[in-house]
Amino acid sequence: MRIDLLELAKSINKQGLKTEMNRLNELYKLNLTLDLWDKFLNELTPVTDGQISMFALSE
Amino acid sequence: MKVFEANISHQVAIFLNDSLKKIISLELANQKIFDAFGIQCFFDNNEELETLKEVISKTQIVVKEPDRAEYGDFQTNEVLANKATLHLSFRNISPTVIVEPTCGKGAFIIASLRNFQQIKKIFGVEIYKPYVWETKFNIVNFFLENPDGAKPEISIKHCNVFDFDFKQIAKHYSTENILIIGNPPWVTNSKLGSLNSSNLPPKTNFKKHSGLDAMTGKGNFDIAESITLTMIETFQKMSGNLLFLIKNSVIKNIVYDQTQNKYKIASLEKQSIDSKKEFNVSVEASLFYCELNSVPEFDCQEFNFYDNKKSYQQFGWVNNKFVSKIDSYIHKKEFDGQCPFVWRQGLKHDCSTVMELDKVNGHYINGLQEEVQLEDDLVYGILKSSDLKNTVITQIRKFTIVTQKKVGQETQYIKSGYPQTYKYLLDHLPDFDARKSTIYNNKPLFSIFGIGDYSFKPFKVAISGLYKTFHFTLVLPQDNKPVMLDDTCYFIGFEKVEFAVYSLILLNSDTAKQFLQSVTFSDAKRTFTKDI
Repeated sequence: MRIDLLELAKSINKQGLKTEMNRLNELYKLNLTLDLWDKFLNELTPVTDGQISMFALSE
Repeated sequence: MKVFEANISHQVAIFLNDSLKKIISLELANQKIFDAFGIQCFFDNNEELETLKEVISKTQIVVKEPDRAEYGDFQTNEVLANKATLHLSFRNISPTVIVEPTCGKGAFIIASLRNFQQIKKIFGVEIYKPYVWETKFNIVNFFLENPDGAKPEISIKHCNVFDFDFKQIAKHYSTENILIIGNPPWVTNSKLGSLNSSNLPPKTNFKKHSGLDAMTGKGNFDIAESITLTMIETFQKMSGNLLFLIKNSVIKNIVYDQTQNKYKIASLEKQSIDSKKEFNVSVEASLFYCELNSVPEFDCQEFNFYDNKKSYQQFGWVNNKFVSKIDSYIHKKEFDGQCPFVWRQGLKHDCSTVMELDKVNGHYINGLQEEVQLEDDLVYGILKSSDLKNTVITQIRKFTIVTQKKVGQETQYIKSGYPQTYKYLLDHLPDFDARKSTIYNNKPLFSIFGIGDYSFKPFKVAISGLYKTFHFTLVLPQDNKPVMLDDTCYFIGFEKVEFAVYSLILLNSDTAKQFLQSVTFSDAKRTFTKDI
């Protein structure tokens, strides 16, 4: 599906995210936090830039 | 009254009876009809002439109208054909040459005769002989009712549209103003193939789909699409217009492929009609209009054919992206892109009576209502599109046997590891052998598709490809086993529940919904695919 989750993640209001998370926790008896949010963003971030700079260094 | 299985009005029958009863020469009969109505070669041979004379000299014969809907044959009614040609006439379109491939009973030819005053030549092509006759009779009837109307030369050919040489028309009338008009059959190549119809284009993978795509759904195409593309390709360099009544999916495909084809067409329009009202069928269809001999354009304005108001939206290409609502897309285009989490389609087995199970009082029951003894290891919960209504799935109602961990994996391991499951599958081998899709040919016994490491990820975010809702669902494991989705669903799999929930929240946000609405087509068979 051609939807850029990273752009979506950058655009979302953190408070809104928290509210929605709490709603889901309550509704479905989950116990989730936003502790892994930054890791999630890292996972979504393309690593292409880093690879290019490594090659650039070796030249 | 019917002659040659074609409807003939009382007026036309009387006229032909009076005109032809004393004529015994084929040439004289054809000349007489040509002089009166411009129709060339009205009779192909003497036998036709004699049969017609005999039938119309006798009492009226009423024959039941054959149902040709299975051939995609939905004849355009007179009112719609008239309105469509008037629509062109109001735009000062006045063709000198008319071409109607698959002209049926000739509704658009008659409407053109009524509404265009400059016509010099009309070509109609039709494979079904009774319709060839009915078109000719309708033309005669039109001129009997409108004796002062200009009479162009008219050629109605009994021929497969794919065998007719339209290039000769383009060559011979290259300086004329042409109108390609009509209502090509709303049927797919596979449907016609199953009916042994000869009204098919030569078998080629004309969309250049690769391997599995060509063998599965994408290899199927509408006959109307092939005819429309042939017409555009043949006549694109002539000045003039094209107006075809076709399915919305065909219009979408034409605009989609325009970025590759770059046909010389512009001012593309999709004028939506009410198919239920016009044809009593539930198919989304429209009049597709374009100008020929133009600088290629890659988008299409959408209108409601009945209200004459201005375009309500526009779809097509924006830079290198194909979108359904250009205006809204422009405001959300930053969200158009790839995602490192790969979207997958669910699993496909085409053997639901055997492979799908209910659990009743702890026992598995298959689609044949047999109680089934199986080891639990290869049995997984499965969700279908209709199960994805809630935001989080907490209960499973169906189960499936997952025979492979990846596509093409050998399945002999089931025999030694899971003897009860193997016996059950083997007992139902004929059901697997009866699967029609060629993707199962030369594959291990009980093969499935849409299976891989991703299928076994514990947490999934899924959406139905069939429903027109923009709602994503979190699928949690059941009894410590991942839950599968069927091939009507699309999903991303996660190892961490947090990542799945974050994705779920993002995908169900208003921003995501607005973006997805701008790139998906509500009249598509599948609103979502792994590509959209």
